[in-house]
Amino acid sequence: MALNVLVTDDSKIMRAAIIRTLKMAGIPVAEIHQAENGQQALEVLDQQDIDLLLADINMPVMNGEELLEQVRSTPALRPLDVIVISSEASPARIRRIEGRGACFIKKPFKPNELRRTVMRLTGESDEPGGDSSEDADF
Amino acid sequence: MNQVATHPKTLIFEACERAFSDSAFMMAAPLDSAPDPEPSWAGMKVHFTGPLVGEMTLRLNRDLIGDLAANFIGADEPPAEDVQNDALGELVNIICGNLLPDLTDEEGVFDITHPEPVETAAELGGGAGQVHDVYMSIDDGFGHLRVVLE
Repeated sequence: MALNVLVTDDSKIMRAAIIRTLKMAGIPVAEIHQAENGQQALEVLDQQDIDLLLADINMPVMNGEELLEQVRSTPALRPLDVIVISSEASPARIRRIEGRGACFIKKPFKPNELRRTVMRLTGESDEPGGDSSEDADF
Repeated sequence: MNQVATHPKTLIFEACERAFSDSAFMMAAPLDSAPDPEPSWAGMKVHFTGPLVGEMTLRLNRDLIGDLAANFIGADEPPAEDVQNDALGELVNIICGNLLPDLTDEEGVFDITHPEPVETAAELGGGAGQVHDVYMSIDDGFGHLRVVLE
């Protein structure tokens, strides 16, 4: 099943890099939406049918952890698959994220790492359909 | 004063080397000092709190930043200037996030601020803090990471 994905990061270039990585990893994607912070992400989630949320942590207005908390405390959004992407990967941070039912990926990351995490979350089989052999990190 | 690893400069360089290589396909090599005269540069700074408190500034040759940003997104041509600055900010964020847990044995969560531009040497900071400077050649250019720990 092709996924509707919401990429949330205050960095325009990081959103572009993540979207490129999604395509390189061969993840089946139907629509890609973008948001610059957690508040914008909640607005998109309210208006669109999103299957997968990718979120940075350090963002203005509403950060990624606050966004995750809002998602988990909103009944309609609670089952949403969430991947938090951050360069700050202290064990305490990762435990906190995973304790809220989200996956964590450390920047920079390889397309295959994103693919494996998405497939694990969505329960899809892990057969690459795109250019996942490329060894670039983001 | 924070408790810091015994060889911070080695750890700082290794974090930079990994970030440049993995995020932008650029090769870093250590330098003893900044080139004299220094080339025109642009910089971005982040502040951090947690088990360590301080700030980190990355500055690069202006000439390198277009290539850095293009490599970041796999583009053939350098993107617009605001996107180039965005790439520099993202890189200092990546270096900071990857480096800080290696600099201390203390466990805890680090909070890193949004990157802000640095335009003059005076803004590099230091003061009464513990300053660690790492100079690098990056491809054909120059890079400098300053870590200041309170």
